[in-house]
Amino acid sequence: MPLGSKTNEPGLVDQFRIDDMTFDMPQAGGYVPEAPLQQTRFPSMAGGGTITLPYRGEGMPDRSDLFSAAIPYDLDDTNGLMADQVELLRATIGPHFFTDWKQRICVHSLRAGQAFAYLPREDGFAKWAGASAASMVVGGTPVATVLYKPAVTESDAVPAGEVWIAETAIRHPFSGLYVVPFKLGTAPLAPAKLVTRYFPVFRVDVDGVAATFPGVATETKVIYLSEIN
Amino acid sequence: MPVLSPLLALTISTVEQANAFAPEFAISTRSVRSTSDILEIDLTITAELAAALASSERVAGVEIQIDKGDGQLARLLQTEIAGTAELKDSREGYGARTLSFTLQVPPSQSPFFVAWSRGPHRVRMIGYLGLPGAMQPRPMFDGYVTQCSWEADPSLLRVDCQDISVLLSSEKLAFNLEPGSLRTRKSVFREILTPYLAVYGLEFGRLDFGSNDGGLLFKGLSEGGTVDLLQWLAAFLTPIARRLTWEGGACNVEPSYASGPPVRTFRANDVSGLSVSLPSTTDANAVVMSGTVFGFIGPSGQRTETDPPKITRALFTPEVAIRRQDHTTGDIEDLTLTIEPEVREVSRVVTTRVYEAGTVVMTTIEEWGWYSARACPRQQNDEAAVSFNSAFDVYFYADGSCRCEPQQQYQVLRQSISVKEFNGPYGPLSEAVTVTQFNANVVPIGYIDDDSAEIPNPVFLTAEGIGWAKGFEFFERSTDDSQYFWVSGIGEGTLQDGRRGRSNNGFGSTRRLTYYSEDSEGRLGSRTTALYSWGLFYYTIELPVPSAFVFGPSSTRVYAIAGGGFSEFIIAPTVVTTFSAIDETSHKETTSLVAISLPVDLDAARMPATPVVGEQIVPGGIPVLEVPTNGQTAQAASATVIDAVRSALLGKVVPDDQQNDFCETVDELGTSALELLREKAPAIQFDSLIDWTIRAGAPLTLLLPEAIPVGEVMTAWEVEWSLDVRSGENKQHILARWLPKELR
Repeated sequence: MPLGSKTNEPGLVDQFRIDDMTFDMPQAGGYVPEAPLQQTRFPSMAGGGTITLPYRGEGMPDRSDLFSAAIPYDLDDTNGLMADQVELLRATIGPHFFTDWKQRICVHSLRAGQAFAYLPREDGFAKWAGASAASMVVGGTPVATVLYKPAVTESDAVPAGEVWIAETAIRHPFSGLYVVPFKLGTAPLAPAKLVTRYFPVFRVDVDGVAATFPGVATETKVIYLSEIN
Repeated sequence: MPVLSPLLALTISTVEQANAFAPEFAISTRSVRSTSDILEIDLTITAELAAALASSERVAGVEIQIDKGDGQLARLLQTEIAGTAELKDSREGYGARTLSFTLQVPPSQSPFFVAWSRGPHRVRMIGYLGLPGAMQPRPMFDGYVTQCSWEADPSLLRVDCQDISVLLSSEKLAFNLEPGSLRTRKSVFREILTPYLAVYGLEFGRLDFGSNDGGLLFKGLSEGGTVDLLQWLAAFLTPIARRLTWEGGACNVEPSYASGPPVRTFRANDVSGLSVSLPSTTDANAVVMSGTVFGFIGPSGQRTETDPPKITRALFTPEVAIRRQDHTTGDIEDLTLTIEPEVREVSRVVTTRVYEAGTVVMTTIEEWGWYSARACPRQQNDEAAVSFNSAFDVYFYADGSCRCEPQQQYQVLRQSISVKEFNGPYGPLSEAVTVTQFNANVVPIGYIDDDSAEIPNPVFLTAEGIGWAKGFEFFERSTDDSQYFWVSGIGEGTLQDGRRGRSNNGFGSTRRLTYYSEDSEGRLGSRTTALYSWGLFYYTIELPVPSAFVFGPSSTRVYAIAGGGFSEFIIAPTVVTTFSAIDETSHKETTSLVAISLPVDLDAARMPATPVVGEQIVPGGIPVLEVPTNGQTAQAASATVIDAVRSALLGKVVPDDQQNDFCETVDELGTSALELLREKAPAIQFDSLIDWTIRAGAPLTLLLPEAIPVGEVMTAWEVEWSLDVRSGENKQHILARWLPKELR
């Protein structure tokens, strides 16, 4: 069971997970994930620029991004199993689920009285019982109890001080993206920021696997992953 | 009745409360028939949009709903929409708004195989703009699918839509209107469109036809189903500078170009890609509009012409009351009424002339303005006791005046009808001027009886202590007559004797007669007397006289001489004046008189008839307006409008001949020509981020001195919105026109 590295713990632990397979950490410096923010810039004639974020619908985080990564492996007779898993992954239809067990943050701007919202990705703790449970802070006050439920709806009666997070993803009714609903037991009385720290599981597809054979009994394979819906 | 859980609960029962809550809100109600119905209140809240526009980082999006074939509107997921949604609004043509978007569909969705893409299904679009956690939805489109096209690789279905005007776009007009109908343009417009709107379940929205509901129609209309309804209506509205729009699921008529405060001010940091283009130098710089104009022969058998109203618009704030006196308790309470300044119509003058053989024999002048009738805050009983006005509430304005209403109203202030008679070919014989305006109907607050005793009159009192019959000004008619007498040997046009009279149909009546006569040295002089009658009391009033019965302080002096019973004598004014205080702000003065009989010709035959009060039921059918249509004479007429600047640059005038058959006057021809020249006005184009606020026809300002003159507004001629649903990348391209002064 790999330990997750939290946002205040620089670096990664030594294993990734894709579907039900465990992958070793690539060689140092080899793993370069990207998650560009989804926003556009309007350059004005005065030289300034205004940013527009796409509206994803009610309850979605303030900012959205799109994950992609290239994961390179140097393979030889010491990690034949890895070589087999990479090949199996390439040949299997998606979507695949990937986590690097790195904790990430998403922020929601809640309206006064708003208790129901969505995490943009599944929580690795709920899906695979890895790392640690999510933490939430509403307006500077931590939510005391985080519980995971098979499903969470807006009409659920959540006790005060708790938050219920769904274990499975649903399609968002406005954007159509796969999201994870959650509901706070105590809604903010005034507009407030909700800061969530969790270990996201990315819904990805394998764009391809590049292979090179530098010498006898060695090969290099690079897995290209990109997030899908 | 469903249980409602309102996000916002309002208790508004008065206009003041509504204004205090949000003066800019437009609140509409629909079809509330019983207590079990729901009152629908549409509130447009713009604060969140304003916050988004002020921010340099904002959130934008759209929601598209389509009828998938079951008659219900279903929201499309963003993942079902490919690329960019495009919306276009133009003031050209009949003002249709169009929407295009692309559906991301699986293969085999070709229109050949899928019935949906061949049907006129309903589509709505809602624009979103705001900041995280504070988003503002704004309905932007409501219409129907007009065309679909399918791309096989990748599999995409492009959907083109048009707003509700598409329902009428193929309709042809069949309509007849007899010449000389004298119906307003608005009335005819409504009659034409009502059956079509009923068929399609549409309704009328804002119908701004300007003054006099778009003017009167003298011409006949005869359309036999060969012309496009909407194109015809657009041309029908051109002579009054109006156009069609279709917002809110309703048919609207709006001014064709913008005036008033700008909807939005763009600064350099709000725009990109700015360009200014002037009309082509090879284009016409003058428009010659031709048509036929009928000289209308009215029911009197005389030609009648109404000038275009002379309207003044300005930034104006109607005055409001600062205090109110309750008529049941006399208590005076402070008020906090506010009206925002905005560009309003502040005056209007409408002149109508009736001709007889080319000579004006009757002129009617109607003048409009902002006013509230003055009122009396006090009243006096028959024992001279003064108390507060117990008949109605009185409002105090900041200037100290007392009025009937809490705020000024825009209304007719004065109407004068001048009727002239001519003495054959020689000159004027008489002129009678009937003036209707606000009059106070001043009455004495007391009189002296035969025993020289002061008898108080129960009257309303102004703040200055002047007695008014009804306690407020009312719109009454008075007549001034002038008669001209011709005396041989003196010369044509010499005034030998004149007579002026005044009467009103108010509570009392006054006749005022002015006599012109020569004194012993042959100098022309005049003297005015008047007889006032009120109930059983009669007063003769002389204006001006050296001394008299005085009411109120000297600044508002009214002189009168009392006579017991109806007297045809002026009783010489004299004598004892006494003063007594009523309260701290007013006083009364009474005078006792000594009668000296002076014979005066009051011309009893000219006394006004007893006024008819109330409704008069006239037996028989509704009278039919009989119009001698064969008396109308059609005249070819034309109006030329020149762009003086361009003409000067070119050194010549290049005309563009046009025709509009719906013009009733030469001025309407001129307006039609101006409309065409406005299309040639300088165009300012630029991009900005979507604000869901600017629409075609909206006034806007660009704070770039090089683009348009500082402080002036331009009109959004065409607005195109585009928004990539996935990335949020968005743009609104605005084509605006700045109209030079001569084109406004």
